[in-house]
Parts: sequence; C-alpha cells; structure tokens
Amino acid sequence: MATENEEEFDVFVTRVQPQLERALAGHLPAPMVGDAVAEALAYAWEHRHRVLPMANPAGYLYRVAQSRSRRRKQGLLPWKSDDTIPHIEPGLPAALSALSPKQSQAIWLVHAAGMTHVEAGEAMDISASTVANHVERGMAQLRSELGVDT
Amino acid sequence: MTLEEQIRRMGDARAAEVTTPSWRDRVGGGGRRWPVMVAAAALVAVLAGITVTLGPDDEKPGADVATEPETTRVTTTMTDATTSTVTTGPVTTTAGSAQQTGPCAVNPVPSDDVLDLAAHIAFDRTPLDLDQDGVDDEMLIYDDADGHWFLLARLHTGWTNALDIGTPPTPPGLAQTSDGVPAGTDLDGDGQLEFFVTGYLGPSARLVTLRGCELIDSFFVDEPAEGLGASFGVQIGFSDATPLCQGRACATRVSCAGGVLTQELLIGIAANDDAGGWGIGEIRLDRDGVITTTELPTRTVGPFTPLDDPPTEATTGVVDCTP
Repeated sequence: MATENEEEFDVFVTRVQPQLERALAGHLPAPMVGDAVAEALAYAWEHRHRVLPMANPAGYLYRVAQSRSRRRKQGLLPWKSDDTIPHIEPGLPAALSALSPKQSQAIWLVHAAGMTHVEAGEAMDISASTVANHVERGMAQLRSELGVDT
Repeated sequence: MTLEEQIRRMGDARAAEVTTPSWRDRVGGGGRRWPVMVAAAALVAVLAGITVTLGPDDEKPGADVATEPETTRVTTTMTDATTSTVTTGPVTTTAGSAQQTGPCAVNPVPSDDVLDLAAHIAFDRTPLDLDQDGVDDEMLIYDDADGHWFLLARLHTGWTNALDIGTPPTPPGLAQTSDGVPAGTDLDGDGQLEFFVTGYLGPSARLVTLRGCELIDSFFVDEPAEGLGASFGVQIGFSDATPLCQGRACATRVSCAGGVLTQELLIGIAANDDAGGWGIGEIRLDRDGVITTTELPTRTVGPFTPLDDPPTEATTGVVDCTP
C-alpha cells in the first residue's frame, strides 16, 4: 500500500512526467527518453524533500534526466523523413534543427513541451529573459526560412 | 496553423513514441546498474570472508577521525578540464569495510592478473604515499572490461580497495596537479589524503578519501553539473575567505553574510560554457556533513584555462552562513 508520501509523489509524477517526456523527446531518441525520465523521477523521489517544493521542478528534472541519459546535448534531434506529420510545414523540422542548439532547445521546450520561459530557463540553466530572446530570434529565423508570416 | 502550433504537434508526435518505465524500479540506483551492484556485493562478501579469516585488528592511525575532521588550514586544489564520468546512485566499494580497522594489510586480491589490469588501466599507475607511512603506494583508474570503471588504491602492503566510479572518465578523471600527478591532498588535516574524481554531466564531482582502510566518497555531487559545456571543474577549500585555489587555475574568494565562517568545507562548482567562458556556479558548504548550497550568478571570468595558466580576475561569492 502506498504511503502518504508516495501518494503525494504520484500526484507530482502525474503532473511532471508528461512535460518531461515531451521536453526530452526533442533531444533524445524515444527509447532513451523513457529511461531518462524514470531515472529523473527516481532522483526526485530520493530527493523529494528538496525537489517537490521547487518552483520549477520540471526544469530542474529535465537537467537531471539529461544527465542521467549520459548523452551530451547536441541540439535538436534530427527529424527523419518518415516522421512526416500532417499539417506540418515540410521544411519545419529541418529548419528547426538548423537553428543554433540553444535556439532550437528553447523553442522546443517552450512550444513543443509547453514550458514557461521560467521553466525553460531552469531547464537550460539560463535566465527566462535569455530564453525569450532565443525563442524570439529562433522563431523569426524559422519564419524567414519557411517564408511564412505566422 | 501557426508555426507554434505546428511545433506543438511535433512535440505530440515525439511524445507519443515514448514509454516511460516506473520510477520505482530506479530508486536506489536500481535498474540498469543492478548487475554491477550484485557483482560488487558478491565481491564484498568474498573479501569480508577473507578479512574475517586473516585480518588483524590493530588500530589504524587516523581511522577514527572520520566524523570530526579538523579543518584548520587553507588547502586547495582544482580539477582540470576533463572528463565524462557519470555515475548515479550509491557508490559501491569492493573491498575494505568500516569494520576493518587493521593496517589494511590483508587483501590478496585483486591482483593485476586477476583483474587483467594491464589492458584496462586508464591512468598511469602513480606512486603516492596514500597511507602516509613514508612508503609509496599507488592509485589508478581501470575498467573491468564490462564498461564499468573503478578507482583503485593499492598500498605497498598489498592491501587494495576499489571504488566504483561508474562509466568511463575520458580522459581519466583523476584530478591532476600541473605535474600530471593525481592530486592527493590532505584537505582536512587528518593525515589522510583526499582525491578528486571528476566528470561532466550528472553526478560529476567526487571527493574520494582514503580513510583507514576505506575509500570513501566524502562528497558526491548527485546533481546536474553547472553548464553542459565541454568541461567541468571543482574547486575546494576552506572558508576563511582566502583564495580557494592558491597557485591554481582559479581565483575565488568567498565571504560570509552575517558572520565569520570557519572550519567548514567549501566546494565551488565551476564549468565552462559553450562559448569557452567559465565561472563559479554555486558554492556548497559542508558543515558536519550537512551540505548547503548557495547558487551564484554564473560569472564568466575568462576562457577556461589549464592549471598552469590561471585567470587573474577573482570570482567572489557571498554565502549565507546561518546554520
């Protein structure tokens, strides 16, 4: 039977896990994402008294998960041709991957993973305003590359 | 559909491919490392049996000072920019134990032949007087051919102990002095040397102490390293606000808000960033084993430089010294 602590932690997991999965899926192959997320959540359990009260635990655990994945971040994961998604600009994945690593990461965390700038800043270990700059400049470059206005 | 919405869909697509196992299976360093831990536990059991059979119980000088280190002088060192040691969870020692208080003389294994060390030593054997008895011992890093790495200390008496340090340090993760010698330093003045094993990413920085007959992780950074650039460093010293790294590649001063800070161990975590700058990301206080962390605004103090070319600008930090 789960303890009160575990129940509280399960609620935490329910909230954070999907965001972590989405955030990491941009930079890690799918088979590695689950492992990294599980490791990060185990870390969060072991350090729950410190992690749970954090203002941005998702951002922090993103860094933990990256560490546990034992893979250095190298920008956005390449998008394979068979990953084609309906209603997506065909050139978008390639253009996103061609951005600077920080721009692509910031855009991914904010728009694909739904993190706030503060959360993304925690995840990237930079300020929220720097995240905003990366996102703004990156999105401008994407629009320019793809010739779209919106 | 806006670009933002399209990127959101890309996230949906990628996330749909993810299957996350239960975190409960990973608690306590479980999951991927259990075979290593089982093997290490088996080895501990074997060695414990040998110890019980053969081991004398003479007191080892300094073996009982572990709980109250005397931190009375400024002694510093710093890792150079290295490595990729990543280890998670509890550390397994493969020999020695808290119960063994003898002179570390009993341990017929592992020998080079048994471990096939010749093929796996990642760091030249280094003569060091580990137990401070006037006779050189040695310390090295090796792997067990299954991709698991160990820091091994071997005394001239034949006593050997190995500390599981996880995945490979590349290059070898022993902190080095400018002479290329692993930096064994008696940081706390207790007559035992402390060593660094460092790496980037994850649980990255470790302070390994040979204390009595044990190799102990005195400090274990089980958190993401500051920055994720090409290198990572640790600097360590004591808290009398003097430079932490005398004569080394750092120039850090720490002062104390609201009081005089003495006798505590300070550990500054520094890392270079992608642009080649580096700075102090946080400062930790180890007060009787309780680690408190003060994050500092990372301040670039110049390109990361090797030990023989220290930056000149000081990084300063103020630590809340309230117990």
